[in-house]
Amino acid sequence: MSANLSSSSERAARSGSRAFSLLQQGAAVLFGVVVLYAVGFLPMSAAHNAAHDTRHAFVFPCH
Amino acid sequence: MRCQNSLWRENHVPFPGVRRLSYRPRARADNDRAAVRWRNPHSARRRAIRSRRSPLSSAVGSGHSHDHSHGEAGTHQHDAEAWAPADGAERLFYTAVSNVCAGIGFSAILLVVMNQLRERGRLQLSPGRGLAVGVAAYLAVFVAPSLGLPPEIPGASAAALESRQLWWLATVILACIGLALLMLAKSWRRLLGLPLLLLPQAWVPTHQGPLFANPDPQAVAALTALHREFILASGLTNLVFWLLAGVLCAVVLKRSVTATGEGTDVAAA
Repeated sequence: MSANLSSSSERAARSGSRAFSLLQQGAAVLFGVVVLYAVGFLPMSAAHNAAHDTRHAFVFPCH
Repeated sequence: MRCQNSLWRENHVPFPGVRRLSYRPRARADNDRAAVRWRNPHSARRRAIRSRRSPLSSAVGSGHSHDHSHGEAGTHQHDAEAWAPADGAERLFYTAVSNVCAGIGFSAILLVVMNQLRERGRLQLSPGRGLAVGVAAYLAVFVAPSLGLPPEIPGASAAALESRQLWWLATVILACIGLALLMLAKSWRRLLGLPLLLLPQAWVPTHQGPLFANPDPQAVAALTALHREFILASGLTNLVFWLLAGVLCAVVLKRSVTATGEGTDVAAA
């Protein structure tokens, strides 16, 4: 019984940490996408001019 | 579509190759950045200081107007007054910053992908495997879109920007899924990856007509040679970038996983 309890609480803790980790990983992907959008796709002309050479080098479509 | 090509600001001429052929005697290429700067930054800078305005810009400009004739021509306008980094150190600085940002963005996604694979027991975190992941990422993010839309030097004619951006995104995502299927799926399902890799190549937003709308065949030859050089240079630098990103992500991820003590049960798996 006690083993059962401890294992279930362990499982709950693990799933809790896993959910947190998923959140973290989702945030990391979102961060990466936002940064890449800013560097490679943002149509604002100041952003385009600043990152122009990078866009060409990384084969992002440019002008 | 708004044209934000800073190359077409008044004092910008992108093609030193044309100047070398003395296409126009007075022509001064004061700006050659993307295509040539990696070859000779100092002469580029000196040229930038020396010259102010070039008649060549109008000569190459015909290609520019053609560039947008099939886009949304009505809304097209030059952003002559838009901010842009000054040539030389400032521009190098902004390019370096945006290169680093692109590296951070790609690596953030690559780290999560590698971590997901590790959690599922599909990836061992070793430098060798990191190298393999780097090659896969290079194929998906650089080679796949380059097959349809090769790296281009500024001034080359191309289809409307939005369609190319959409195509780039679709191609990269499909290539990622396709490569993942090819490498990770079991038995016949691997073959499902192939059509995903090939599908975007059937519909490429290509530009109709010559790549360079310059009337002088000598200039076009110079531009074509420059273009080929740029494809080679960007291909090599991207390969180095992705190999480094793959290896470093594997090493860093392994370190962080062992530091949190999570690595023990994964090693058993």
